[in-house]
Amino acid sequence: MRMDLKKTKGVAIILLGRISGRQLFLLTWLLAFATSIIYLPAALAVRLQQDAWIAFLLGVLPIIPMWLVIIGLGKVFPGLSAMEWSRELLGNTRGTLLGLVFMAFFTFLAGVVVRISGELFSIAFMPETPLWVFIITAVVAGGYAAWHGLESIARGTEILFPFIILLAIFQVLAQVRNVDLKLIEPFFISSPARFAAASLIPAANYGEIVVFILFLPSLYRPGSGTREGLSGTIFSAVMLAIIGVFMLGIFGPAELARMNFSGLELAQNVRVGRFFERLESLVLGIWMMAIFLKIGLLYHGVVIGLAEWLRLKNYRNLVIPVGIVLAFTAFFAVPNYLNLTRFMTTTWPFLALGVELGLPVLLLLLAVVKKGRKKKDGQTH
Amino acid sequence: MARPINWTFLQGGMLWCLCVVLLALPNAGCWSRKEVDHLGLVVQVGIDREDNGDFRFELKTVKPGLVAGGGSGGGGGGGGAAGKPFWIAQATGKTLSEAFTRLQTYTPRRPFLAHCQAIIISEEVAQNQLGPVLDFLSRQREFRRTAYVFISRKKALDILGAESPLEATPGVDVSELIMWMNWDPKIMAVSLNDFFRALSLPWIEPFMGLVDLVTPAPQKTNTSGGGGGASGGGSGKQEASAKSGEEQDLQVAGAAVFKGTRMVGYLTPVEAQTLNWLIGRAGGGVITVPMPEGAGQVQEASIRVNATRVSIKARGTTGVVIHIDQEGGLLEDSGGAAMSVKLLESIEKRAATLTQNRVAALVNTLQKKHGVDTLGLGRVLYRKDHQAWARLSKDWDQLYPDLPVKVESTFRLRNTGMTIHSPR
Repeated sequence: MRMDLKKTKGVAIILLGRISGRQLFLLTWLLAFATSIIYLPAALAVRLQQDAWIAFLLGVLPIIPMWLVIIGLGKVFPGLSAMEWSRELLGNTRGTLLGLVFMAFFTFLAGVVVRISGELFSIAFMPETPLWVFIITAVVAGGYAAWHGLESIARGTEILFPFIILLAIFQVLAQVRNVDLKLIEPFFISSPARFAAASLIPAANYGEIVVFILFLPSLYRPGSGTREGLSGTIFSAVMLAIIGVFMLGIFGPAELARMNFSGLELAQNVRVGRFFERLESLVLGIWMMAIFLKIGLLYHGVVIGLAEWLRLKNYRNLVIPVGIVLAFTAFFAVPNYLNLTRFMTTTWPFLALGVELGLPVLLLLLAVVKKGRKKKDGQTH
Repeated sequence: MARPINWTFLQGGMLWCLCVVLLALPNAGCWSRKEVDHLGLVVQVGIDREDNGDFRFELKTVKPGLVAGGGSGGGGGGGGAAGKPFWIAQATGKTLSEAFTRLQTYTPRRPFLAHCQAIIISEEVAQNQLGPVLDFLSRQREFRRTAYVFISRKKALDILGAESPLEATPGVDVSELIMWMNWDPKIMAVSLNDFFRALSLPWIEPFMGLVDLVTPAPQKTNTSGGGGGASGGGSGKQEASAKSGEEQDLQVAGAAVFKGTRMVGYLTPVEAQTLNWLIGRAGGGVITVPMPEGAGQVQEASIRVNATRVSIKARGTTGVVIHIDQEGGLLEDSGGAAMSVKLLESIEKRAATLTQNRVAALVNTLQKKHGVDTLGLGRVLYRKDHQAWARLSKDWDQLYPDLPVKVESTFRLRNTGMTIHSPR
């Protein structure tokens, strides 16, 4: 609740909420972790065989400049929203267009996450249930989170985080016996070019943190947060790499490469003694909560961005219309799941990194140049 | 600027009404609903081949009412079909899915495969058309990768029909048996995931456990099936090969080796035991070696193997060294020899030699007889030096049968059991 900050610009966005450094860490971790475990390991195993897990770590590299740029933008325009400063920077028309690009990106991304969660249920558990049931459920859950705002989503993640960590630790302990580490040897068999190309896939996934460009005024201290954000990305990258090693060691690279839902298969493989198995409903339940929170976060980003783009006073009026758009995006964006994963691992990384890294870098450069010129102008006059 | 919509009407009563209506909707029933009393729990699946090339798909389904109340008792009473705690549903089809769906036309419950513990595949299928079976097993969403796959020399239907007189719950026989894999590693159990993993990787070939129906003690003694209830249950079996009065028991022993998806041959139980040692799955078992001295007519010592450690290493670019370390305790000395430290050392040497010979024999069988790299020796070379391997691997199929494999073994006898000497 900070009416004061926005008063200067005359556009008062209420109920924006603030997140602490820890919450930033958790939200970053959530963005990178929640969906990537579903289809990324298989896609990486196709490209790098037993080195797939390394790509999860390499994918962090492009994220380091990304965080510096995003937090830097917050430093250059303290207290301003992305839509406001992009208009200030590029002029009204071009700034508005840029805002539209960002909104389209986040809408599509949120739609894809909704679709993935729906496909997971539809393919693996309830094939007779129409897909739209899952899509609407996910959109409603995400919409509920988006309605309540960033703070609520962050707190939800705080609650969920220990459960996911506990489950992850349990998975590791329960399955460590089945892991054949010989399967990930020898290391680095692929060429550096292949590594670089494959690393773009997780990088594009981690790069979804660009959504924080919309939440910059919500950071507890504008200009800080690089450390927390980056450590969130690195934390999820390490978790994904460990899980990647487990999947490679349990299923083998070639078998992993043909899986549709490797995360689910990993959970199904848990067998402690002869009595403790079929754990996947628990895993899936908690996992779905994480996915819903991720949908909520992206959904909230779309709604906030759109409200600022349209210069509205209250973002909540947009929750339902955006939800309808999201549901349609999720339903009609791709014809089937194979198309979805193929698109997300071939075309999407380039598109996404363009928006996630390219645009912010350009904006920051422009901002620095403009500020420098302004300072110069001030000196000459 | 748009006039903000007033959502306050949703607070209070309206919201509650909406919630109640929304929550009431799913109560009327939903898609993909699975109630326990509409499901038939399938514990074992069998896959056979028809003469015309179709599949016969068999499901051993638990009869819900009969399991809890002691199914074996019911089976002992009459042995009729009604008393059996399970029902085998079967159907044929060009594809397994077709057969599976056709089953539904005369199965009042929906067969539920997620609890399937063992998948029995008949020899004919494994030799001719395993590919489609594997596709079905991995694409079908209910099967689990933890389920075990077995090859059966007989019709899978016969295996499914076998009923252990010892177990009240049907269908667990196979999974109960493989629980004792470490006790006797002749029992070979391979999960679906193990099989898929070996199948999918280059330079290693998959294998499966073998399940069979055997007459435990040939004719003259009928001690093992002596219980009245047991033979009663046995009479209800469907195998044609079983003569009346002859008890046929389910046995899991030995293995079937594959080249890709085609089965190429069998390993004997002893070879399966050695394979289990080498892949590190089960390191137990009993080995019997001749004693150098003793008083009795039979001079043999049986040793329980307690632990086995194996390292398979590349030697140069085209050679493999298998080193196998075992330890165990003396279980039986039929010669009644006087134990001494020196004698123990001698037994150790004999045991080490026996293991070495068995490993060498297994490797030889795999290399020469079957020509399949079940142990993944190619992968050992690949891991050692993948650049040299890139050149080698082209001729691997010709190279493999003559690949020099050196076997080294040690054995440590840790104890002599509860006594030192035999009673005399």
